[in-house]
Amino acid sequence: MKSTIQFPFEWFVIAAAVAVAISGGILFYPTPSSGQRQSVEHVVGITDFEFAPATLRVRIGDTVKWINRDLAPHTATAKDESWDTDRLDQGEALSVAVTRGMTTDYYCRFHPMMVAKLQITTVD
Amino acid sequence: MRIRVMLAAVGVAAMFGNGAAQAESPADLNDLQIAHVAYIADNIDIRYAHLALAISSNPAIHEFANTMIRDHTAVNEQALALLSKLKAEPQDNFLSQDLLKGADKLVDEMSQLRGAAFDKRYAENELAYHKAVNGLVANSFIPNIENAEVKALFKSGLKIFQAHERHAQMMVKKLK
Repeated sequence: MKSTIQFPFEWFVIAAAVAVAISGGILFYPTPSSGQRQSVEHVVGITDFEFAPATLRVRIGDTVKWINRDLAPHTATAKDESWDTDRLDQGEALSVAVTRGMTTDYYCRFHPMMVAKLQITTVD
Repeated sequence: MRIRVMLAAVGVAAMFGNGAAQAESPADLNDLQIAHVAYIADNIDIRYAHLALAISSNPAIHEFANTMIRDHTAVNEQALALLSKLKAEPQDNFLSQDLLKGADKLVDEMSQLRGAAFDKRYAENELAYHKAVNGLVANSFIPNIENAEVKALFKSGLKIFQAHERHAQMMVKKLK
């Protein structure tokens, strides 16, 4: 007589969930063992004398790319001038790395009424 | 619309102390004449800026003047590139001439001033000049321009000049 082992149905559900979680981790996270998040390149457009978005959430290690879509030249410059894209003519872009302790309020040196900020966060 | 156009023209004429609006209306200018006016208006503001750089020692004035040179030069380069693409030449007209006459007079007047008196006059004129020109561009030029590319350039230019007006407003407040 052939004997069979009966597993409760709940076990299958749990096993399936664990399998999905593991495969998802392997498939979608490049280095799960390091626990590090991939850096992201954010884009801030400069249009009609405004930075968009005016507040951008970023994390340490990300980069922010400013693209000037205006006819007039602009800059993205830290309020204390500790970092600066320098002059960006129409169609030009420049990226700045987000570093710990960096100044997050910035403006356009040519048009000081243009202001915006980066918001450094540790939460996704 | 016609009333607003005439008001804008009267505003500019009054500012430059002449009766240009009685002779002709800016609303009657064609695209090439409008382009000429805009080019002249840009160059006039660049001229004021160079005067400010030569006379003023105020860093805020220098910063503003450099911005005027940079932005108006960018607009003029785009305008010339577009006219070249369209194989068109800007046409001189009564309004361009009136603007130039007014500017000559004002440059003579401002050249006599020094220190805070110059800074105040320059800042106030920049505010008044941008207000007047912006009214003209918004209410008279843009509605009447026929060529779509020229119209688009004027719309972009207006955004820049409106920003200059706000910047000038800040500067006037700071100098009070």
